[in-house]
Amino acid sequence: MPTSLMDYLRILPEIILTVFGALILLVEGAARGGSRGRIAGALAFIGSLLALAAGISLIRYPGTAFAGMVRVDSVSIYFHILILATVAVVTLLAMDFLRTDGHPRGEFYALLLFAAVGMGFMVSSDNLILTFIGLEISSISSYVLCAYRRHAPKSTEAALKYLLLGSFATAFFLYGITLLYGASGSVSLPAIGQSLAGKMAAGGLALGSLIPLAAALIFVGLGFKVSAAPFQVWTPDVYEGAPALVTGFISTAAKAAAFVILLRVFYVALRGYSQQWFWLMWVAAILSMTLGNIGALRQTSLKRMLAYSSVAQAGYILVAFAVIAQNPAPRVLPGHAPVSGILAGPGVGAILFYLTVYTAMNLGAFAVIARVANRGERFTSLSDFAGLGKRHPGLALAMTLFLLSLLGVPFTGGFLAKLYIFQSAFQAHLIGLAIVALVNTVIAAWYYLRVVVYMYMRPPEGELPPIASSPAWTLGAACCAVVVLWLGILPGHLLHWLAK
Amino acid sequence: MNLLAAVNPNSLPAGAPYILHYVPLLIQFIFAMAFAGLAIGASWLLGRHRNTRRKLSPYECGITPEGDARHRFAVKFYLVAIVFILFDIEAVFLLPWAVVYRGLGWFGFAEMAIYLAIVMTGFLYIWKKGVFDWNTPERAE
Repeated sequence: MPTSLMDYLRILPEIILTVFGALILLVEGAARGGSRGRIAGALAFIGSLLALAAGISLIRYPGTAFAGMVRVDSVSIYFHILILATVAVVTLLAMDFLRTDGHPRGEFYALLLFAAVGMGFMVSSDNLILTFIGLEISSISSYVLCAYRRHAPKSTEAALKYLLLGSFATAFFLYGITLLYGASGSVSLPAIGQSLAGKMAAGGLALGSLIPLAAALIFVGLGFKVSAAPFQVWTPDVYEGAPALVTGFISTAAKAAAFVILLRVFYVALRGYSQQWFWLMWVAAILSMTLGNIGALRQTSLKRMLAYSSVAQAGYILVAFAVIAQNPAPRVLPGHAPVSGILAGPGVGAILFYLTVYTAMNLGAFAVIARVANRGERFTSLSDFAGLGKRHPGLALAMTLFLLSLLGVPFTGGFLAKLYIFQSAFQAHLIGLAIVALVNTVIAAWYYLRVVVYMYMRPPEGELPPIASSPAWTLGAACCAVVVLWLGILPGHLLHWLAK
Repeated sequence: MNLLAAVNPNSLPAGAPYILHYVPLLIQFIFAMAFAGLAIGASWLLGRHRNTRRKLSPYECGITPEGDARHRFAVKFYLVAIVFILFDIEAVFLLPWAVVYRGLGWFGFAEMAIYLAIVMTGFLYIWKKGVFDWNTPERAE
């Protein structure tokens, strides 16, 4: 099949990001002194907005590209928009972060864009090799971003841990792909689904035992990326050591992209085996929620607390995956899956909604932490936030909003996101799972609300240096807040759009 | 199944297990191991062993070894190594492209031009960043 212009159009967001990333490197190489980082920031912002526009325009060109390697469907378009919007917001926040940090280097933006390229391929790939390449592009950029404050021991330690464990997890993922290829003879997701369905209909596989093993290995690799228990051990150390903004980025966009791979691999390729992988999701969901929330109870560093919280949040999303496994949609025609086919299943809409809200509220929370932490990230402990309500009412208010949403208080996006997940679990008769999730939400209330109590009802401890105002930061954080509130009060728009 | 028939994968019957295609590889592996084992074993058996202190010391291009081998290297060496690997791989990609250049036509030319443009961007970047200035100390950030 010859490549046509249409093929390139369907990866236009990635092309734009790559071009702008390369441009930033050239500009950064030539730049001297004060202009370093500033032009790069502007370029990154323009690039991410252009890519976002290209991502939105993909709505008009659904289909496959490059001989079925890239699939542009509603899920890939949706996550392109989510990820690219996140990148644009992170770029805004980074302008403030890099200036405060005192080492404005444009490479930060270039790495951000390159990571987004990888995530773009992750969400639109229909071929396990391309999925793997996308995963690696985004992972390697993330490793370097974690080490951005390279003179801080904690930052480099985080990056090294992330790199070593991440490579290990990738090896698991790759091994899973190999076995899946061995069992089905293909690396294309629809072809794998078709081959396995055909073999199942013909009375099972000679190599039947390979499939659960392959599914388990792939789940180990992806479970690491989304920091689902029992593969969450790296999360607190990495999230604490990496710059707060980077943590905000890798805990939202990177996680969302990995969840899409999880969805595609298990829902498209391994749909026939949902009875087996249901238990993978079930166990991982319960472990993630429980270990995450219990771990967060004792943390005094806010970054560490939110790291555990993000493990728990991954658990809630995995509940929806268990729901999908319980009710696989009856139509198994993966080769001809219509554009909306992947959305038709119960629970998938809940995952999309949850990931959107989670991205906004978690990024927002880390943005506030990055701002309060100030130069060198010295102020990230709970006591540093004491009395913030008096000293910086705006920051405290934003933090309160994001924390309440993470907890799931009504009129925030987090409430409805949790509601949809629990609802789908009840509808799928997963009562046990739903009850564990509810109990966990109650546990979580303690540590989220404790921060709010510290901010408003405790006197300030010690002296915080003044926090300079920054329009770019305000705009970025406001975007997060608006999304959280908008989805909390008027979710209809997004739900309507998801239903289409 | 006649093992010798499997030496030529083309002569395998249609339904033969796929793994039999690898029998030649196994034979080569056995020969390689046997050859290496034979060479080392024979020299150990036939040669004379008169070890002196000097003979047993590590060989370092003829110079008397001094100091500990485990000391810290400047990070520059690693940078050079990484850069070398990157451009090495670039050359590896260029070779098959050059071999089938005529068959690929303008499409292949355009694709390779894009690829080289990306590589050149990286090259310019590391050049400007002073990775090739091996004499000067690392630039202060």
